[in-house]
Amino acid sequence: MKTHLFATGLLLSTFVPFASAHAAAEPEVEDLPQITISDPNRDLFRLGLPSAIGDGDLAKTATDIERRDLDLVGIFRVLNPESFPDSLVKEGLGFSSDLWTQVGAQGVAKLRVTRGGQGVSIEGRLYQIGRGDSPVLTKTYQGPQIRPLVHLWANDIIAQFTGTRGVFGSRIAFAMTGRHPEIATIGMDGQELKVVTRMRSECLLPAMSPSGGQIAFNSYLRHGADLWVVSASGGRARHISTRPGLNTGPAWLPGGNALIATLSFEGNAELYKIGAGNGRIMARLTRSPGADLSASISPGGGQIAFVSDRQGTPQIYLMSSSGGGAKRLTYQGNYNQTPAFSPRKDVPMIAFTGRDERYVFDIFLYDLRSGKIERVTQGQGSNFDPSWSPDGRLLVYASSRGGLFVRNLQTLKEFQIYKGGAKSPSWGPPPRDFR
Amino acid sequence: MAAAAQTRIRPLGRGTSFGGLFATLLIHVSLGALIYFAHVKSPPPIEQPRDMIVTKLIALGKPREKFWLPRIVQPPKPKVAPLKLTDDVNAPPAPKEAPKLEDADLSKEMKRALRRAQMLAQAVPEEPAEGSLTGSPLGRSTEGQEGDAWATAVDAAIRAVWVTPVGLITDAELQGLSAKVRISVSDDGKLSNPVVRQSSGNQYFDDSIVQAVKQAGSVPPPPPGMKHLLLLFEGKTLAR
Repeated sequence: MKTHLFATGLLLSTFVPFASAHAAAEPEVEDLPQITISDPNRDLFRLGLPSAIGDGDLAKTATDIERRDLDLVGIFRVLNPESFPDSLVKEGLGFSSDLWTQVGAQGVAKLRVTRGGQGVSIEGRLYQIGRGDSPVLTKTYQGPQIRPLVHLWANDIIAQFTGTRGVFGSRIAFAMTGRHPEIATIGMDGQELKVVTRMRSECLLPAMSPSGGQIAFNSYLRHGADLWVVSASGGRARHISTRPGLNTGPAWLPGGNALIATLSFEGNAELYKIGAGNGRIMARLTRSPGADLSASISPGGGQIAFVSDRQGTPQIYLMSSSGGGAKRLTYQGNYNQTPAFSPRKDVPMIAFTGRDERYVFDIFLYDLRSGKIERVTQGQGSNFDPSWSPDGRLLVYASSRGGLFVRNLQTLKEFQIYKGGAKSPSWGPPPRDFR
Repeated sequence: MAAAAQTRIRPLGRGTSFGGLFATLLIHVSLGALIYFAHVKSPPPIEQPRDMIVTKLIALGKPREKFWLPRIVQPPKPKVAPLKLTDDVNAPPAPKEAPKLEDADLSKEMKRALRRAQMLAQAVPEEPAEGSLTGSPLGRSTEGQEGDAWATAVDAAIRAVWVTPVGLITDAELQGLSAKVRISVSDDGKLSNPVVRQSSGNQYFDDSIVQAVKQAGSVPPPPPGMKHLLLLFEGKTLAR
C-alpha cells in the first residue's frame, strides 16, 4: 500500500513541474516588425518662462532676472514669450500641457511674487511635459531683496534638471581698464557692478579668496608692483608684500590663509608661498633660470599649474604644491599663459590662454587625463584670462570685443555679461545657500 | 511476501486505495489538460522577423545632370608629348607608341600586363549608384522592397522632429543610449499611441523619443502587417 502511494507520488511529481513549466512558457516577446532610428538632432531643452504673477514692477523684475539666469547658464532655450497665446498668459499658476506642447515647450517654470511685511516672497513651480499636470518642483523663498530669491529659484531649477545646483548669486572680480583701472566685482548675471578699490593707480590680476570675503591683487600705487588685499565689499586695501621687484600674480590656497605669488626680490621671478595676513614667506617653490608666474591651484590643493619660460617661451607647467617635479604641459604655440584649474575634481582640466600663429589669443582647454588640448574660442577677436565658475560649468574670459564673456563648455553658448574695458576676471565662490 | 500479495489486481471493494484512485484520476486529468493546451498553444508558423536596418535605406538619387544629356561637343585635340621615363641623360629615348601584344620582342611580364590591360578595357564600366528621388540621404541601397521604402519614410518623418537636449545629455552619454517604443500606425499614416517597452535609463532620452512620435508628420499608409511596430531609438551617430 505504502509503496504504491509512493510510486504514484513520484510519478506525479514528474508531471506537475512539466505542466507548470509549459503553462509559464507563454511567449512575452512581441513579434512586431522593428525599425531602427539613430543619430538624433541636438538642441537645448526648450523652457517656457511666462511672466511672473503678482505686483507689477516687482513681477517684471523677477521675470527679467529669471529669464536672464536660465538663458545665461547655457542649458535651456528660453522660448520667446511673445509667441505665447493669450490663454497661456492668463493661465496663472496652473498648467495645461496641451497648450504648452503646441508652443513647443518641454518644460515650464512659473513664479508668483508677493510683497510681504519684511520683504518679498516668491513661489515657484516647475512643470515638465510628459510628467502629468502637477509640478515636478514647488518652492517658496523669502527675503528682503527680490534678486537673490530669484537666483535661488534658478539654482534649484538647474539642480532639478542636471543634479548639480547652479551658482547664480556668485560674483566675479576683474580689473577695469581705461581711465579708472580699479578692481571691481560684478554678479555673474552681469548685474550689480561694484568698484571695490580706490587706489587711483593701475590695479591688476585680482584673485577672489575661497570664502569670497577678500580679494588679493596687484597694484602700482607705491611705484612698484606690490601685493594688496582688500575686503570684497570695498574699503581700505592693505599691502602684504612690498618687496623689491615684482610682487604679483596671487592665487589663494584652499583655506584662505596662504597665497602663492610671484616674487622677484631674490633676483629672479619665482613662485613663493606667503601668508595672507602679513605676507610672511612660508616656502620657496621654484628655482629655475626662467621667470615663473601666474600660478593656479588644483581643487584639492595638491598641484599648481603655472607659466614658465625656462625652456625659452612661456609655457604651462604642472608641479606639486610643495614645489619640485615641474612637468611641461603645452608643446604647441610659443606663448601659453594664465592657466586656470577647473574646480571639478572628477574632470581635471586646465583652461589657459594661447596665442596662435596669427597672433590672436584664444581660450584653450587642457585635459589632464588624455593630454589633449581643445580650442574653446575662435574667430571672435582675442579672448584671454579664463576663470571657471564654481560648478565647473561655465568659463568667464575677457575679450577684445570689449568686455567679459561667459560660455557654457558643454553647449558652447556664449553670453556677454559686461561691456567695457575689463581683464583678468576671477570667479568667486558659490553663494552661501549653495553649501 | 506482503509485496507479492499487493501486486495482485484486486477488484473495487474492501481495501480499495482511494489514494491510488485519486492519483490515477489526477494523472489522467493532467494528461488531458496537457494535450488540450498543447493543441491550443501551438505556435503560429514563424515568419522571418523583418529587421529593417537603416543601412537598407534607399539612397537619395539626383536628377540627371545636364552634362549627361546628348549634345554636340568638339573633342579636344590629342596632345602627343614625348614620354620621359627616367632622369638619366644617357637612357635611350622613350618609344613613341605603347607596346602592343603583337610585337615580337616583348618580355613575358610585359605580355601579361598588356593582356590584363586589354581585359580591363573590355570590362563594363560601373554605373554610378542609382537611387530614388524619394530616398534618404543616409541610404546606400539602390533598390528596396515595398516595406523598406516605407521604413525609410517612417525614419525620415521621425528624424525630422527628434531632438535630444544637448545640455542635459552629453554627446558621450548619448552614444550608449537606446530604447524601444511600440507605436500604432493608422490607415492614413498617422503615428500614434507611443508606449515605451524598453527604457534607456535616461528620462530625457525617453521623453524625447515619445515627443518625436507625437510630433512626427504623416507617413504613407502602412503595408500589411505594419499597423503596429517597434521603433528602436539609438543615440549613436551613424558612421559615414
